[in-house]
Amino acid sequence: MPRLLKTHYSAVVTVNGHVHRLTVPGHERLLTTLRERLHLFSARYGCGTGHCGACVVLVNEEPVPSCLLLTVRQQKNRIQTLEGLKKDSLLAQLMTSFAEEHAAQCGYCTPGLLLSARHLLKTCPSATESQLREELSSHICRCTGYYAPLRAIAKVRDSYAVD
Amino acid sequence: MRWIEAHTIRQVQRCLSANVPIVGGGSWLLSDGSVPEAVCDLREYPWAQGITGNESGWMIGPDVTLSQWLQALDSENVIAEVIRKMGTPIFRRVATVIGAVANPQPVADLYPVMRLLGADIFYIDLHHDSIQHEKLMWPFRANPRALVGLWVPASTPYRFIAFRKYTKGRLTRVLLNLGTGLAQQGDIMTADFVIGGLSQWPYEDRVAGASHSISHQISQRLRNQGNITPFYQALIMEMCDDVLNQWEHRADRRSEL
Repeated sequence: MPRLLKTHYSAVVTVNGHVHRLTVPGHERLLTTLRERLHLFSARYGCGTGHCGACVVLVNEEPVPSCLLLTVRQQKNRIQTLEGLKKDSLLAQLMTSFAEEHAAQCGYCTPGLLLSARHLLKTCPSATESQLREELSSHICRCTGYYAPLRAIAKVRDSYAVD
Repeated sequence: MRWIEAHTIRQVQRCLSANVPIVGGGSWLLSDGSVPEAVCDLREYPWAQGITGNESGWMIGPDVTLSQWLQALDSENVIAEVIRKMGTPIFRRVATVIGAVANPQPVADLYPVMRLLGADIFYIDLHHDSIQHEKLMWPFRANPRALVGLWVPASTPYRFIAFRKYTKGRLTRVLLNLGTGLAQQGDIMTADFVIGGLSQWPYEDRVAGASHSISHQISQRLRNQGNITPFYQALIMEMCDDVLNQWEHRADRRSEL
């Protein structure tokens, strides 16, 4: 075989600004690494196929499903989870708005929703209703019916635009 | 699982001869849940990287995600229209374009429009020591092969290309899709269509005639197929009529894609 005649690899991954040197199996997903090795539990296992959005993390500032990423391939990327954004003012506004609008019930999908909402408002501060819906289509929420999260994000968008 | 980064044709050929699965983004591999003994990663393959776009067309490398291509496209472009209907934003950020055409499926959204646009695939196989290319067409004639590039020409024989799909929900399997290319010379109209979901491989056909008879001809053609259920016949005809209606009402039919 051409290269890498082994099943475990050394991976240097940067998560929330911290550099971690790990030895992981070639098939290990980023979600598993975050939860089981780094004990960052905001990303949750939902479907394992990239459809539910519960496992969303930011890779180079873009929300992506961590269940569809292999840890060994993240060496050049900057990974951020909700835990790493404690001091982010936009995220704080979103969390307050989610609480005020009752947009989180069981909370399983909430970290993913917050990260996607933050990304959208950062890249498109005056996002339209259809853009909000498009971004939220990445997430499955079985509690809220989506209206409450939509309201919460729209509320932050409106105040964000005014700011 | 061994992770093999192939940098040369010979390395890719070794993987192909050992039946090692080829991955670009690897999203299909992980959503499938399988863990093969080894995989061959083409994202570092040096021949084609990233998106190259100019007036003659697009060259897409194995590392390009659906989301990256969508951002590079004009929002009115038919390819952008198709990609926007594929999966969700987070999924499009990890799934690659090459992956979407390299894994033949009964219903695949990118395939009909790529066929109508006359896309070429560039690939490595076991019989040639250089990169080969041919028109994209499923099922692939020669196996095994590793796709390393997709070429989509900017010029097309059609005046209008449209895409429609039918699915019960955004996150569920696509049940049917239709790509239609319309061309017109004088009073004669030609409609090429590619339909996914009717059989194992997408069904392709062409009808030509006076513009008012096109819809009737497509309907006849579908009826002659025999194995298409009345529901799907009605669904396809509704999609075709919608496309023809959109064509009829275009303000300037001379405008290209």
